[in-house]
Amino acid sequence: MNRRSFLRGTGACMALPFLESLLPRAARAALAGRPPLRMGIFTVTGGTVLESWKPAAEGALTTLPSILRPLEFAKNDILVLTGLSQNGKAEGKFNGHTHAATLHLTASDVVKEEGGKITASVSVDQAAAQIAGKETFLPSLEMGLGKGETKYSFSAPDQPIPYEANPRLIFDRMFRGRQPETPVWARAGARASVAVAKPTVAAPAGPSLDQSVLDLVLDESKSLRGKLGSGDQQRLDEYMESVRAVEVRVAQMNRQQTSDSKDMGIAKSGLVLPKNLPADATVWKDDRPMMSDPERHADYIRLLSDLMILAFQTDTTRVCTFAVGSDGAYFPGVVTVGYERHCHTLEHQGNAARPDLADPISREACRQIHEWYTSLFADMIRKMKSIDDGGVSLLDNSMLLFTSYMADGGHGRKDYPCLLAGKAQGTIKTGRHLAFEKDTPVANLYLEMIQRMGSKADEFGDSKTAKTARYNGRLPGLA
Amino acid sequence: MASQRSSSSLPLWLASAVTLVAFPWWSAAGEPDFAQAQAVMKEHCYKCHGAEKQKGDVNLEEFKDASAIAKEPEIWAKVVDVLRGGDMPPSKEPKMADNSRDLLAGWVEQTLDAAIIAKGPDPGPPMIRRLTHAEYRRAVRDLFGIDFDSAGAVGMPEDPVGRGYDNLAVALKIPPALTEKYVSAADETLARLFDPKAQGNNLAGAINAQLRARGASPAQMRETARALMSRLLPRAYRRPVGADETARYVALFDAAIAQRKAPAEAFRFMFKAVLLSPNFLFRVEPDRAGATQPYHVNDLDLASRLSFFLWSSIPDDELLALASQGKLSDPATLRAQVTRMLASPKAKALAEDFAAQWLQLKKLAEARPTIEFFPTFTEELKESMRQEPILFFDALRTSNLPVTDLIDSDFTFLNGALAEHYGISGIKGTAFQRVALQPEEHRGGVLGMGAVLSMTSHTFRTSPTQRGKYVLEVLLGTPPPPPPNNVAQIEDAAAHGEAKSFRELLAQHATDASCAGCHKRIDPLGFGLDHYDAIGRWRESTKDQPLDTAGVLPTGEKFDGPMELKQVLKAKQQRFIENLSEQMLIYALGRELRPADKLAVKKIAADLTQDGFHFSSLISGVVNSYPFQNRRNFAPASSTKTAAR
Repeated sequence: MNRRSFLRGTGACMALPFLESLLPRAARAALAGRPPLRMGIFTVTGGTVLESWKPAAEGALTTLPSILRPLEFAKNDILVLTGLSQNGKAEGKFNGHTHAATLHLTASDVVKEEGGKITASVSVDQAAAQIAGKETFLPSLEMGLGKGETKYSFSAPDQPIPYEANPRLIFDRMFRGRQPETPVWARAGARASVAVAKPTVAAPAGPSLDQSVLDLVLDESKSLRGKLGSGDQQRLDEYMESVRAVEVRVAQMNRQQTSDSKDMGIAKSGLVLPKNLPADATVWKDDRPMMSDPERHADYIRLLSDLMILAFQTDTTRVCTFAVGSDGAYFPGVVTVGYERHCHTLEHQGNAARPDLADPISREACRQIHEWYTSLFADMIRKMKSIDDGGVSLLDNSMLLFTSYMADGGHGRKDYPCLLAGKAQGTIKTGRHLAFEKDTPVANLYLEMIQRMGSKADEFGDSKTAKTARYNGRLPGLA
Repeated sequence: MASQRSSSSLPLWLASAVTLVAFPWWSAAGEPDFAQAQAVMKEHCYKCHGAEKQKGDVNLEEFKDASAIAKEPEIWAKVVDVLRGGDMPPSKEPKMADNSRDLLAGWVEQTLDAAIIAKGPDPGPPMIRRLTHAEYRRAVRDLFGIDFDSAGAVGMPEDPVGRGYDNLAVALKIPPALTEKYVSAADETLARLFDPKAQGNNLAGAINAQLRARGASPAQMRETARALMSRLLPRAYRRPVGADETARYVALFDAAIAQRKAPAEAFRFMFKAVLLSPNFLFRVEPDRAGATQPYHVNDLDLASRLSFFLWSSIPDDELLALASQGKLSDPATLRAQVTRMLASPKAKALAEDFAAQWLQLKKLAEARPTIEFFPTFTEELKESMRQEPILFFDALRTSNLPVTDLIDSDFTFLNGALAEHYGISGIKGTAFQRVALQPEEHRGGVLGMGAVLSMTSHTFRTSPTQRGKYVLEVLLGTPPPPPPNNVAQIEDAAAHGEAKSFRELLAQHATDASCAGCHKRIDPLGFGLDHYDAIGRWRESTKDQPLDTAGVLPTGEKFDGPMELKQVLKAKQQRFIENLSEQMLIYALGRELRPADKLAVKKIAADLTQDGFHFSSLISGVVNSYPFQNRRNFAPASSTKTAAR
């Protein structure tokens, strides 16, 4: 079997029943006619103000602290987790921000920098994508203001994943050349039998010209590779690998196109496409107006939240990370105390780990900013609660992590704000506050999350290796 | 084809460089030896950095001879830095006499240089890298004649910036997400190329009409495709292209025609493959088989090095033709070509890419002063500010001015808005013009430019520390180390209603032992610029307090205000010239410098000084430098530890 015919065949293979046992749980669920579990991460900048975030008591949620109050309506859909910390060291040129950012979703033992090159370990979203991403058009989606510090996601220790900031480009990446459509989950089981009966359906007639272009590029790469020294060959190998990834994408698109076209007409999807998406991508190139105007900033965050919902609703991907906000933004109007509006300055003056070291006015300003972030997260939760996803709400079929890359504005890495929203198909018991032992690794939470996405792993990041390892690397009591 | 001179023996210039670099530091009494250097260290250094105490984990006493010192070039280069910067010995210790300082620093430098020379010349590790976004854009412009920011249109992530520049090979990789972007960029670019509305000429229509009108047979169409590609590919690949390579593209053309595509559509697929080909996207210099010693780059690689350095783009036909004939490396030809290339408008890339990055102009977009506090600090004004240093740097090139004008000059470039901002009358309109400066206008050199002054300020006030750091890092190339983690920030007097002046607060902060060492080097420079407010306007006083713009450097120089500060910097211009030479060489090579490159930097700086600092001399110095002209094969075992500056 040559490479081309293998790729062509992939579409049909995926649906064959005998392969079902090899597929992870989430994918099996889809084949059984049930919607899959979605994992979203909504992570804001600047940590939080812990005394206004952490509920007073453990157990059932009663009065919410002010930063969480916008989620009052969804109190029974959230699980607040406290006591979680990052423990990883940094070697090389890191500052407080990049250290925390690189640890954020990787929970590595150690992150390293050498000559500008950063290594960490596979991040929680990418670990989930490597399992739940096989079935969807995009394995995962990473978006948000891609400033320098957004080094959250790694598909391999030395492979950071760039974040896309431009809403138009995110939309195009999801739907270029295809129509947004919700799958008919009840019919998904039937989809398999159609594919078995007519295995040729999924296969395009011949290699498309785009595939021929990529073939030529690969041929050229191979002959060029032969002329290079071994160090240079490595760089070319990387390129060839990524060209092949694009090629798989082209094949996958053909497959999904075929499947979507069958669902069209059956579905009364009621998809609402984002309205304020400009046709011209360059409109978004300049993010400065947004950085100084919280109203425009909020519109942007809502728009990207809508894209995350759309990605889940259309099953374009099941894993999505949204880096929200920016340390460099200004918050006139949101911050109503003091004279300073620059988020980063406020974080340093008001958001130290110890409240008694902080300037109280700046600390109140930070609290206002974080309450503002929560209200935007709440907007997304409200929408997901109202969207039907195979009989239950999209929120019930999801597991959304609301967190920050630092624990506090002083680059703290102890006692992170963490909150899960959505019942994750009944695998998470919401409506509570769980307080874990001090310094329990955040990695334990990440392990719980990827296991729910179908991973068989029994450790993640420093869940077992941290000096402060707890609970055998797990988080007891989530379900 | 290309010239293949080998050069394993010590080149002449290296020998001359040795005397040049070592000589100024020698005492008149003759060559110092280790015993003399040791005597100085015994008196001034060993107390804190010796067998008893090892402050900062540094023990100089354990080095017992010159060869031990030569083995730790990074530590000892640092020793030279702190000696020459006046940071050591600390001010509370007995003062080190100037001649002792020169003796010790000079002897260490000489010892380190001698060690480099003894090892033999090393052009540094060979590198393969992809084009930067800026190079990609210009290469597409020079290939297809359309100037279009495809990287911006498809949202390519910004190029990673290693040590200040975006073209450093180690960082330029192509992960899958980026490859996807290249596919989109090719599509977007070609959509414009083939769109009659966007281009003004209808390429698709012309191709289709021409081929159809002539009633071209399939064989003739094919021949046209082959002929066109055999002209396009050498430009795109920056080298002669074999028939087998062209044939691949013709096969793609055939496949498109077989799928009943119009001829123009078939051309479009060929172009798309060109834009994705590794031969286009990557800068590659193949190894010379069996070479164990460094060798001159061949003429074709030299052509690419030149064009990417000076134009941020691919070589033009003239350059490629000379290289293909093996004539480019002839010194007279090379000189003529560099002169021609520098005169070309394409060489403005040096200002747009090199200078903009060296001067850190990207930070202006994120400058913190807000219109809440500074209503005139609009996006339009910021854009004018960004243009000024770029146009200024480009004028150094077009008029071949001394690069010391960057420290102080009697002209700059202004438009109406910027002139008004600076309080300079008589300039109108949005177009920039060259303006002669009067002393009372308090401008001249980059430190008088709004861009630099605004991006080093806080939301509502100036930051002497940021400005001082800018002078040290960007102009002198001696950046202070980053502050330790969790260091306390300056609490602002305004927030607490205290009467202390900002300078007093900063001074308090700087007396903290862990801060003082660096801040006494950084802050005075910034206070010297405090006549400029947070957005670069001249001021004689602040609202509540008199300005305090006097400063003393650790090395003893005193000054008050920017004019005197610039005089102090002029006195340090040797350091400035070396730094600029170093920065330009990093940019030209696309890699960080290594200890062995130090000699090349010194040679460039020495020649530049001798030539009266003319811009063209800086360029020819880099072009003629050993690492620019030479390469070695990839040796997996060799250590590639980078130099720490």
